[in-house]
This record gives sequence, structure tokens and C-alpha cells, in this order.
Amino acid sequence: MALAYTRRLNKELAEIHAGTPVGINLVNADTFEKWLFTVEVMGTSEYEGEKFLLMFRFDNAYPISAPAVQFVVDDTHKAPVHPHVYSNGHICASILGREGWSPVLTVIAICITIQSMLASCKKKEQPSDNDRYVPRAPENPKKARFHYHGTCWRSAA
Amino acid sequence: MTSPNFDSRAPFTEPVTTRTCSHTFCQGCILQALSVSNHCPIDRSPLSVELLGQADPIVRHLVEELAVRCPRLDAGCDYVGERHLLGSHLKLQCLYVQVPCPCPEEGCELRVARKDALRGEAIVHQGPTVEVRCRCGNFFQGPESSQNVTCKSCEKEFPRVAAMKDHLESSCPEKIVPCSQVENGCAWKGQRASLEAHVDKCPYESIKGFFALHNTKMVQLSKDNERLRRRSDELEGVVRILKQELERAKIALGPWYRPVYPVRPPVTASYDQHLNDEGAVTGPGRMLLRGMHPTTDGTSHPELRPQISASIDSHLASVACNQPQFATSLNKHIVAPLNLSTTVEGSLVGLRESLVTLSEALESQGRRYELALTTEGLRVSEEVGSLKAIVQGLRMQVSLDYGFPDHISIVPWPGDFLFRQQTLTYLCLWVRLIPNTRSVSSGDSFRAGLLVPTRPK
Repeated sequence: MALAYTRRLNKELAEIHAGTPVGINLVNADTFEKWLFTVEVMGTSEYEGEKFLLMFRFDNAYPISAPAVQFVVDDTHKAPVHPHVYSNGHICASILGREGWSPVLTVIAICITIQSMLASCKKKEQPSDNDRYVPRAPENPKKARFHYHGTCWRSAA
Repeated sequence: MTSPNFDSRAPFTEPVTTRTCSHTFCQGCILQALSVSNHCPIDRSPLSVELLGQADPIVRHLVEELAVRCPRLDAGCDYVGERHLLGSHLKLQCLYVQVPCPCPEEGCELRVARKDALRGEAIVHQGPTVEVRCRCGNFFQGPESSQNVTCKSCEKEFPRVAAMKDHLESSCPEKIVPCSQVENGCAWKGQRASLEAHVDKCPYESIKGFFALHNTKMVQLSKDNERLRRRSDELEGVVRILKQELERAKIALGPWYRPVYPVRPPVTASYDQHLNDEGAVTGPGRMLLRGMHPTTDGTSHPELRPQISASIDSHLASVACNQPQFATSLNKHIVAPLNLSTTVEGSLVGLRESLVTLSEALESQGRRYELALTTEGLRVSEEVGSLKAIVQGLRMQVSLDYGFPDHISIVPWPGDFLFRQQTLTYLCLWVRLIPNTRSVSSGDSFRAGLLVPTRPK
């Protein structure tokens, strides 16, 4: 069974090497457990000039189960200030949850979704429950339960 | 080859298509996906396992014909062929697939690559020295004895297993073999050395020419049999279709259907009687029934026949009742009853003629009505004329008392204008109950007798 997800990741990697979209670049894909990409928002936006580091973690049920996706927060990189991005790098996006994920989505598709999520943001602000969520947040964002509330996903960690 | 990897860009293995949104997936992939969700991975429309069906044959053929390499490429197999042939390649041909060890000892469970097995040796025969032990551990001979292999039957020794086997199968004189005619029934078994002696007196051997001829005949007969069976199946199918069409044709023809082999003799008496009971139609208009009638066996739908004639006859009866003053004329020009003794065409012609007659009758009836109406109309206008004269007289009398109101405009009325005015002036005195009426201009259309007096300004 582990064979299945490596074959799929190999195929995706071949496509990535053939060319990634503008603003998305592969940093590291040496193992099948963790991949790193940089994401920039092109054109004029609130995030002009900022570069973010995005981390993907796969389990052996990929692509049936979604990867764990988050921004890397360390000395050199910060999480973007966005109503759907917590300060620890966790992202609440429908496609990363159980109900919104589909096996036809790929790593590049997720990168593009996040890129456009940043690009369409009009105002840089943190999620309303950021300070409540971050201290309690699990290490793996897939373990956090987000539910849809009004116009935004809010965490119910 | 069958592990799903859910890559929608790779060729499908066992493609299935959804019945609702027509998306195609590998069977394994979509079953896995549906075990964790209940929607189509591509468009998220609701999906369940029951809604999956086999993909279009064209998809399957496209996928089956893709050129693939043997999965034992790393072991050395360089086979490239169509995907659907890969299974048999691996099972029967591929030299790098593991197969059971061919060593002559039973119980050896070693598996070796087919290329080595085909050489017929228990493996590890390498170099000039010969080991007498198969890699699985079976001994052919005790370690202290010579390196040769012994034939089981005649105890002859051979340096190589392959040679020993060869000897055993084809030339060992001690080996127990069956007669060469064992397939034709000879039950003899004995040492190969005595085979020749037996063959000389084997009765099956002496008639082996007959067996050969017999066999070829049998083969020929089976082939013919097969062919004839197939033909007969085809013909049965054709017959079935023809039967169905015949049934439909019979139903369509109804009473006019005449089978080739009538089951019962024609039943004339009941048909005549039936018509007489109806009683609606008698007289010169009725056509005579000739010899042949629709048969009354079960296949000609006898219930249709009485119904058809009954419906027409009863209709005519009701027509006759409703028009008592025209009954006699109708009876004379009556529509003939349904004549079932002619062909379909004949009946249709007869029906058409009846229709023509009916329409003529209808026309003449219409004319009569018109005439009656006109006469009635004339009478009424005569009466109106006389009423007018009376009213004129009355007006003369009344005018002496009341005088002449001024503003009257009159709705057009056929006849003399002045006369109208005078007549209706007094009629409106009687209609004084209607207040607040306005004058109606003379351009309005004629409404029989309605007049609208104005209020004096």
C-alpha cells in the first residue's frame, strides 16, 4: 500500500520539475514525507514582496487522505497575516479539510489555492480567535477541527 | 499492476464510469475514495458505489492496447507488449518469473526463475563438478557415494540429472510404460524392453489404421454437428421473431385474419342471429353475407368481431331514435353493417361509402334546419311589423296629450328614420326607470332594440 502514494508523488514530482506556476518554487522534495515550497504573491497585493515557506506532509494514504499543509514559522520565515492563517502557520482552508479534499487535487493545486487566497485578501489581519487557538493548537494541522462559521472558517481546536 | 495510485493522468486500470456525472476512474481508486467520502472526486456531486458502471468499451480498449514493459525489467526481461497480454506473458512466457523447482524429488518447494527451470536441471549445477544436492536440500544420492545419478528403474548411472531424466523418459528399458495404443483402450503396462514384443501381438495395434480413420470421421462429425447446431439456433431465433411479428399482424387484422389451417368450421349461424338480435338494421340496405366468415378459433380474437358490429349497429340505432321525424329516410339510406366477409380493403371501401351517405344525410338535414329557421324568421318579422303598426296608432293617440321630448339620439334601426324616431320616443317613456344613461352615437353597432335616452341638458 505504501507503494501507491510514492508512485503518485513521483508523478507529481516529475510534473513539478517540468515547471511550476509563477510565484511557486520547489525548495526541497528529497523525501516522500515532507516537501517544501516557497510561495509569493505576484502583482500588486497586500503581500507584495513577501515570500513564504509552505510545508507539505504526506501519509501513506495520500491521495485518498489530504496532506498536512502549513506555513513554516521560524527565524527566517513568518506566516502571512491573513484572516485564515494563524500565527503558527496553520491554515484553515476548505480543501484541506476532510469534506473539501478530493483525490484529484495535487500539491501544485493546493499551492495555487493558497496563493490566490493571499492575493484576494483586502486587509491584512489575523483570525479573530488567533490568540485562543495558537497556544492550544496541535502540532499537525490535520488534527485541528475547523468548522465553517459565517464567512470564515473558525477553529474549534 | 493493480495497486491504485489515483493519478488521474495515468492510464486507468479496470476503468469504471459514474452514471450520474460521467467521470471515469480506476476501479480500485474510486472504491478507495468512496470508502472515505461520498462524493465524486472531480466535481463533488453525490456518488455511491451503486452508481458506478463499467466504462465505455472504447476507454477499455484504449487502455488495454497501451504498450507496457514487463515488470521484471530489472531482472532482465525486455518484453514490451500490449497491456492486456501482460498477464499471460507473466504466467506462461516470462523467463524471469519464479516457478517451482523442477528437481525430480517431490516435496521441493524452491522457486527458481523460469529460464533456469527450462534447462531441466535442479539448480546449482555450476562448472564441471556436479553437486548431487538440489538447492532445496533434497539428496539424489548419499554424500559418500559417487557423483553420479542413478536411474530409478534400471539402476544405470549418469553424470547429469538431465541426461538421467532423458534416459528415463525415452530409453530406460526397465521403466514401466503403457502400450502405445493406451488412448484407444489397451490396458497393458510393462517394461519398455517387452513393449516391442507386446506391440506385435497387441490387438489394438493391429487395427490402429481403423482407429485413425475412425478418429478423423469423429472429428468431422463433431464439426458438422457444431455447425448444424449453430445454424439451428439461428433459425430458432428467426422463427421466434417471425412468430412475434405474426402475432402482431393477427392482432392488427382482427376479424379479417384467416389462418392457413382453420381449426373449426365457420360459424355462420351465430353471426346472423347476432345481427337480428340487435334489430337496428334491416331492409334493403343490408349486404348479404357470403360463404366465408372469420373463423372462431381462439387465435382470431372473436371478441373483437361482435364488438365492432355491435358498436356500429348500436350507434345507428341511437341515431335512428333521436331523429324520429327522419327515421324513415335514414332507414332507407342506412349505412350498411360491417361486412366481415370481404377483405380489409372491401370493408374499408364499404365504410367509406357509408360515410359518404352519412354526410349527405347530414347536409340535407342541415338544409332542412336552415329552411325552418328562415321560415321562423320571416314569421317573426311579420309579427314585428304588425306590432310596429299598433304602436304607431298608440303614439298617435298619446301625442295629443304629452308633446315631444327634445334630445333623443337613436341607435340605428332598419327602416325609415323618421318613423323610428317617432315610434321609439314613446317606448322610452316606458323605460324611464333607467337613470343616468348617456347617449350612444349612431355609429355604434346595432343592438336589437336597446335605446339610451339622454338627460336633457
